[in-house]
Amino acid sequence: MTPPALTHAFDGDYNKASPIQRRQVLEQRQQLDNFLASVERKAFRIAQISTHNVDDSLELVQEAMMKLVERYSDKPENEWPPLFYRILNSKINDWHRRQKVRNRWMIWPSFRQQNDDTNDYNLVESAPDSSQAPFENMVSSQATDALIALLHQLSPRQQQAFILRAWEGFDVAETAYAMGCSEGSVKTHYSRAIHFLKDNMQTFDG
Amino acid sequence: MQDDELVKQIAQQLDDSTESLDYATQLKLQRIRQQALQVSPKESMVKRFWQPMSAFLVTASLAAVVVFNTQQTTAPTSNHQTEILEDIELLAADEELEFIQNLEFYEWLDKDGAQQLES
Repeated sequence: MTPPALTHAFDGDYNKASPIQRRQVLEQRQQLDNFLASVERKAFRIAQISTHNVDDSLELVQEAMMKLVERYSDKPENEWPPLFYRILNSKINDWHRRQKVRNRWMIWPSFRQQNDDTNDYNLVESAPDSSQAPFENMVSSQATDALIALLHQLSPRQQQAFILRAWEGFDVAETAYAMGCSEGSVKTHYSRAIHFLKDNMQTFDG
Repeated sequence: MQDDELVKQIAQQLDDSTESLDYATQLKLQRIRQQALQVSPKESMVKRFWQPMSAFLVTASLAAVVVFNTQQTTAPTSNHQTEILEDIELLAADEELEFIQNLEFYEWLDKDGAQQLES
């Protein structure tokens, strides 16, 4: 039986369509469902590594999925992976920009207050961290925890280059497309990520 | 450690980490996927804008050609529109066709009768 979600969005057009068109719509929806099911957990992990926030990661994955369905569902199935990761990376980059602005505004009042009381103010310690506890609770494996923490130390672009190349198995051209940058930039980010990880591997190795 | 080994090890660990996601998160992911699938696909700009626009342009061009040709062919006869109206009036009239065919005779009879009355 067809899941309700596959027909619900198209009620208007779907009812008017011919049987062949209906079949095509359902098949395409099923393919999209299968594709999204195959990438949802990876996408969540990628967002989580970058944001360190469970709720924001889920939101970013949802936004990426919705945009893919809305804009690119008519594209051939083999084009969905690079398109999806490109959308996700774009959403993650937007998230970082928003965080930067938010942190600037949140730090300013506390900075003024602290500056009045004492001179040894620490900017890093005063940065807001609203989601550390749920994140820590969710990740059960210590090794995974350590690996995610290590990957989190990479810059967002290095994370993207490394994850797409090493984990998703994209080649340089596909990674460049998904990141929206040149192939040269991908090589640079990937190389720096590898060096950093090699140097710091002992923190979670074994 | 070689780069390939490092990459392999990290990829494997990340794979394991997705498999061991907690149940609540997996349910949430499933739910957001279903919500995403309910989004109606937006038509591309080509479909949404250029197709109706090109259809409109073609229709407008055809209409312009038809109007232009009609004007060209009707130009020599100045009272063409009046003739068309008369034809329509004739077709719509309830009178017998014989009466209409003899209309000129009746008009002559009418004028002749009037002249005789005047004289």
